[in-house]
Amino acid sequence: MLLANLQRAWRKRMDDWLNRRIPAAHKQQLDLRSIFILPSRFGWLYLLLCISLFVLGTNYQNNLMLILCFVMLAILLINLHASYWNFARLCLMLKAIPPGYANSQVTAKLHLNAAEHQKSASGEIRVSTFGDDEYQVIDADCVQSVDLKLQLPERGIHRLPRLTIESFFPLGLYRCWTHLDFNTHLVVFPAPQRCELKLYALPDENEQEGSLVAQPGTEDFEGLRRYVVGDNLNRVAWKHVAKQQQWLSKNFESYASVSGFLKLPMVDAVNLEQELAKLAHQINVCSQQNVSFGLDLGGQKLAPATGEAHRIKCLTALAAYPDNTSEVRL
Amino acid sequence: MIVATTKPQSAIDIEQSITPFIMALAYIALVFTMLTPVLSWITVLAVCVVIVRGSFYFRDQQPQIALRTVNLLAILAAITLGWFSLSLGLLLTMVNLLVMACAFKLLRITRRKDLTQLFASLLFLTGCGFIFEQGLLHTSIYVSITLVLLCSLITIHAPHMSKRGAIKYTGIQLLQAMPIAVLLFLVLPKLPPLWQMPTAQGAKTGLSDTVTPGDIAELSQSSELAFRAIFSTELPRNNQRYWRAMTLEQFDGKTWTRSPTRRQITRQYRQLGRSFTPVYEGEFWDYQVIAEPSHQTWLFALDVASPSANSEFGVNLGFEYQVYASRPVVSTMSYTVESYYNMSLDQTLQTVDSRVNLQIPSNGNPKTVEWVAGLVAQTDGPSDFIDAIQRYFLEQEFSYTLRPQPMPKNPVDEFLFNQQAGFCVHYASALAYALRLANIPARLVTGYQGGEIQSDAVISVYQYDAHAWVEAWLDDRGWVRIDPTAWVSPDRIDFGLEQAMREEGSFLADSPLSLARLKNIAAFNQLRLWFANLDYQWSKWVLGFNNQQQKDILRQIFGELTTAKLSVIGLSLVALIALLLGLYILPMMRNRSLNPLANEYRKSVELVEASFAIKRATLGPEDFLQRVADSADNASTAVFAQITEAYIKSEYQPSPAQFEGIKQLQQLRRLLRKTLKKNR
Amino acid sequence: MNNAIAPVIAELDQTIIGKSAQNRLAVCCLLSHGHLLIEDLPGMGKTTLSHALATLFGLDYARIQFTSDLLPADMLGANIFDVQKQQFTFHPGPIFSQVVLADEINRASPKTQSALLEAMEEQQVSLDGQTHELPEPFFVIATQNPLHQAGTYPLPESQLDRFLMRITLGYPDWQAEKQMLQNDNDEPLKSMITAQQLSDWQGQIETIHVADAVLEYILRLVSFSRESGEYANPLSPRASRAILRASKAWAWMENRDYVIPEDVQHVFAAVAEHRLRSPGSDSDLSFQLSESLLAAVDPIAA
Repeated sequence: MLLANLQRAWRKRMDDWLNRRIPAAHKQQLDLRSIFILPSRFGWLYLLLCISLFVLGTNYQNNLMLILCFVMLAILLINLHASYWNFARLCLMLKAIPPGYANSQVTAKLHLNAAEHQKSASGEIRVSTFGDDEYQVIDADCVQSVDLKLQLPERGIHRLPRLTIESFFPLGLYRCWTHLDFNTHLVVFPAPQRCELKLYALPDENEQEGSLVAQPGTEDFEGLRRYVVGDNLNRVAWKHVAKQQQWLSKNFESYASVSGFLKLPMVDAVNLEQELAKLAHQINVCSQQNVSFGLDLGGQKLAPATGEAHRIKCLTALAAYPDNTSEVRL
Repeated sequence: MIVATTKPQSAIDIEQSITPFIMALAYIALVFTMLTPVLSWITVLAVCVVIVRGSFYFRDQQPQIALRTVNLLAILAAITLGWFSLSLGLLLTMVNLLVMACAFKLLRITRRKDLTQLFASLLFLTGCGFIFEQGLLHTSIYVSITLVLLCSLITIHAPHMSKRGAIKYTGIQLLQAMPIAVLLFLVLPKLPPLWQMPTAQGAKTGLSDTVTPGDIAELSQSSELAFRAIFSTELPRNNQRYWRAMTLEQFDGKTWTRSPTRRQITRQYRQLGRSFTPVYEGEFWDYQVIAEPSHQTWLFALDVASPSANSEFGVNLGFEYQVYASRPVVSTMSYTVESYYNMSLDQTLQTVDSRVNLQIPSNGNPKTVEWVAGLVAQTDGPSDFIDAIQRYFLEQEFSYTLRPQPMPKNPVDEFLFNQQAGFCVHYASALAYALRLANIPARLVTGYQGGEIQSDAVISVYQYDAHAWVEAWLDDRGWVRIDPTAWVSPDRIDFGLEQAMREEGSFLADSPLSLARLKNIAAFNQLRLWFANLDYQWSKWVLGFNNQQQKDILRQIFGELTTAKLSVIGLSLVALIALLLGLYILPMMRNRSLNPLANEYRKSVELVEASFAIKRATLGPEDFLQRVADSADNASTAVFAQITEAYIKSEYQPSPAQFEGIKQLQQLRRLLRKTLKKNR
Repeated sequence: MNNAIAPVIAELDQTIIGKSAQNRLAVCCLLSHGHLLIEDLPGMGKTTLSHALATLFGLDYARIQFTSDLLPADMLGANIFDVQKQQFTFHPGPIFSQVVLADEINRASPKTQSALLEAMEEQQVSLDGQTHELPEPFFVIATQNPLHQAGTYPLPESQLDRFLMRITLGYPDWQAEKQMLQNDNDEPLKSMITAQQLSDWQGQIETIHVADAVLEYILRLVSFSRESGEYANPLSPRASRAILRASKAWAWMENRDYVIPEDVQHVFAAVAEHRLRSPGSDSDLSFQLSESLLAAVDPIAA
C-alpha cells in the first residue's frame, strides 16, 4: 500500500518534471533538453573489458595490448557523441491518430524526419509507451515514416501517454532515450455490440417518445440487377461474376426516407458501457443503410443527418460521454 | 500498453542474421593467427563451427542446435582440454579455453546478449593475440579484426545499413580513436606488472636451457628475430660478437643442462642477498638491447656485462657472467649494457667453478676417455692439450654441417671418430667433455654469434645466429672462450652462417620463402632491409616503449618534470582529448544536407528573402529570379542571376560537376552578401 | 521560346485570341504524344482550337460529333460486304485521321466512349479479329461539356487519365474579346509544319535531359498526393510519367535541352488536375487541387 503510494508519488513527480523539461508538442526535434543518454548494459561490459585488457597489458608489459585498450576506451568516448548526435537528428512528428473501437488496434503515422532537407538518424529505433517494456522497432535506415500500431484502451477520450523513443546506435554502448508527449488524443469508440435497431421519432415532430418509426432489418437484401459503371465495387456479386461472367450488383433496400433518433436509455453506471456499445452498433447500421439519424445522449443532442462524417461525430460523442461540453477535435 | 508490440526478433532471425557470421569470420581469422598456441584439435573445432555458422547464414541449414547438445559438447571438450592442460601450462590452457568457449558460443546464438558476450570474448582474445605475436603484420591483422568486430556490432543496431557504410563508419571511428589512444599511451604512466602472469612454455622458437647436439641446428632454420642491439660506441667486429645467453655446466654424456649444484649455490646466494658485482675496468661497448619476447628469463650480452634495466623488469648479472631478467620476457623489452671486452673472467670463486665444471658422466663414450688419456700423456699443460685437439680436428678434416647424422649412442665417440662432421654444438660439446676429462674445468656457453649490421649502429640478431661455444678455466687467465667451430669453419665466425653454408646450400633450407634467403638478389635484399628497419622502428618506438623513453619524451617537451608540471600535463591531456572529441563532433553537429548543392542555393535565397522581404515559397529558381528582379536593385539581381544560373547549370543541366558548382555558389554567395550590404 | 515552334504559336494566338497559355499547353500536349481533353461550355472556341492545331501542323483532320446515338462503328468504321468482290472490305471511320476532334465526348454512351479511349490507348482499332493501325501522329482532342449539363455520361475517372492534359478555355477577357470582334476575318489558316518536322521535334524531345533533382521533384509531388490524405484520387505512376513527358516537351518549347522545375509547374495543373479530382466533386473548383499540391511541395531538392 505504502509502496504503491510512493510509486504513484514518484510517477507524479516524474511526470511534472518531464512536462517542464520536454513540453508536449505535435512535432518534436530532439535536443540536449530532451535526450537522455547513459551507457547501456553492454557499455558497462565493454568498460570492464577495457579494464581487463589494461590489467593484462600491464602485467605482460605489452604495449600493443595497452594501445588496444586505449583505442577501445577512445571509441567508448567517441561513441558517446556519435550516439547522441545520431539520436538528435530525429525530428519526430505524430500525425493525428485515427479513432477506433475499444480494444482494437489502429495505426498512426510516425514521421522520423519531419525536418526535411536533412539526413535522418540511422539504426534501429524502439518506440514504447512510457513505463512499458514492450516496444516496436523501427529501422530508420529503411523508412522515414512508419505505421505505429497502437492498442486502444477502453472507451473514452484519452490523452496519448508519453512515448519512449530509444536507440542503441551505433555500437550499442549507450542507450539514448527520450519520453515524448505528442499532444494528441486517442478517441476510442465503444466496441459495437449487436442489438436491435431502435429509432425514435423526431422529437420536434412528435413529442411522444418511445414510438417506433421504423425498424428495418439489417442488410435487407433485395435482389440483383445489372452492373452499371460506377457501382460500388463491394456491392458487386462476385460469385455471379465468376460463374456467369456477367456483372451483377447486389441491391439493398434503401431507407433514406426513414429518419429518427437513437437514444441512450436511462441506465446505471454498470450497464452504461453496454448501452453505449449497443448505440455504437446502431449508429453503424443506420449509417450503412443510409438512414438519417440523430443521437440523443440526454445532455447532448445531435441533429439527424447521414454520411460518414456524421457517423464519426456520433461515435465521438459516445466516446466522450458523459463529457458533452468539450468539442473534441480529431 | 498503448504501443502494441510487433513480432519480436525471433531466435531464428538472430541465428540467420549477418552479425554472427561476421563474428565467425573474425573468429576464424583470429584462430589462424594463433596456430602455435592453440591446440590443433581446437583449431579443427573452430573451423567446423565457422562452417556451421556459414551454413546458417546462407540458409543451407536450419539453425537447430539444441542447448543441451552444445552444453554436452562443451563439457566433453573442457574435459579433454583439462587433460591437455597438464602439459600446456596455465597461460596456454586459458587461451585455448577462451578459443573453445568462443566456438561453443558461436554454435548457438539466440539472443542479442549472446552477440555482445561473443563480441567481448573475441575482443579479449584479440588482446591475448598480442601475447604471442607483436610484429607489424600481426598487428595490422588484429587491427582489421577489431574493425570487423566493431562492424558486426553496427549490424546489430542498424541491420539495414549498407556494408560499405558500416565499414566506413567504424573505420572513421577507429581512425579517430587512434590519436586519443596514442596520447593516452604517451602520457599515462607505465605501471609495473601488478602480479606475476603465467607464461607460455616453449611456445617460441629460441634457445632452450638444455642442449643436445642437433638442437641448435634446428634453430638455424628460423629467420625469426631474436634481439637487436643499438650501439652508442663503435661496433664490435663479427668475430667479437659472442652474445652470451646462458651457461650449461652439467653433462650426462649426451645433453648439457644447467648444473643442479650451481642452482643450489645461486639460491643460497640469493637468500643471503649476495649478487655478483665484478670490478669493471678497461674499455667497453655501450649498447641498448631490444629483446623479442622469448617467455624465458635469459637475456643477451657480450663479454663481461654491466646491465641496467630501463623498464620495470629487473635485469641482473649472474655468477656465470650471464645476464637475466627477473621475470620471463613476455613482451619486447629493452635494457642497456656496458660490455668490458678486455677484462678477464676471473672474478668468481675458482673453487666453486672448478668443482662444478669438472663433473663428468660416470660412463659412456669410452673411446673418447681413452683418447683423452692418451693425449694428456703426450701433451704438456692445458694450452698444449687444447692445441692438440685443434690439430686433431684440422688433421682429420672435420667439417661443419647443418645436416649432421643422428648420433643416438655415445654421441661424442660417434662424432669424434666416425662422423667427424657436425654443427657447433657437436664441437663445443666434444671439446668441453674432452677438457673435463683432462681435468681442465670447462663448460658450454650458448647464445648467438654474429648478427647482421642493419644500419650504422644497429645489429639485428636472428635465431639462425644461435651458437654454442666452450669456456675453459685456465689458471692464470680465468675463464677463456674457446670456439672449436672457428677452427673448422672460420667463415661461420667471420662472416656468419649464411656464408659458411654457401656450399652446402642448407641455409634456411626449410623456409624457401624467407626473405633472408633471397639476400643475393639486390632488390629483394633492399626490400628485406627496409622491412627490417621498419620492424626495428616498430620495436623501438612501440613495442619497446618504456618508462625511460616516456620520461625522455616528456622531458624534451616540458623540461624537468616536477609534480606541478606533471599535473599540468595531466590536465592538458584531458583538455587535448576533449579538443579532439570536439573536432570529431563538428561534422556530426552540422545538419547534414542530403543535397549540398541545393543547400548552397537555399542559403543565397534566404539572404535575398531577408533583404527584400520576399518569399520564394515553392517557386522554381527561374521564377524566383523573376520575383527578385521585380523587387531588388539591379546589382543584387545581377549577382543573384549568376547564382541562379550556376545552380541551374549544376543541378539540372546534363553532366553536372556538382562539387565545382558548390564552390562556385559559395563564392557567389559571398559576393551577394557584399552587394546586399553595399546597397542597403 | 523555341525558334521553330514560335511562329506556330504566334499564329495560334492570332486565331484563338487571349488564350496564350492554353494554346501553348495544347501544342505541348501534341508534341509529347498525348491526347487532349478540353472541358468547357459550348461556344468557347474548343472546335476552333482543335481545327487550328490540325491545320497549322499540316495534319489531316476529322471531327466526330458525339451524340447519344453514336455507335462505335460510326466512329471506327465497319466491314462491309462488297458485292462485286464477294468479300468484306474495311471502310475506315473518321477516327483514321491524324487529328481527331471528338466533340462533346460526354454526350455519347459509355460504350462509344470506351471504343474511342481504347483506340487512343492502343493506337490501333480491332474489328472482327483484324487490327487496323491508326495513323502516326495520332492526336485526339476531346471536348467535354461541364458535367452538370443534362443528358451527359461523364467519363469515368479510370478513363480520364488516358488524356495527357485537360484544359479549360473559359471566357476571354474584355480586351481579347473586343479584338476578336474587331478582326473577325475568315482568312483560312495555312499549314506551317510538315508531319516529318513534327516527328523530328518529338524525337528531339525524347533526348531532353532530366536531372535527378527534377525526377525527385516529380516524385515528391506524386508521393505527397498519396501520403497527405488530402487528395481523394492520388496520382498514379501513369500520372508521374505523364508529368515527365509533358515537362520535357515544355522544356523543348522553352528552347532548353534540360528540364527545370518551372517546366513541371507549368504543365502540372493541366496534367494532374483531372486525375486528382474525384468525379463526384464539383467541376467549378477548377485547378484548385493541383495548385494546392504545387504550393505544398518545394521544387528545390530537399
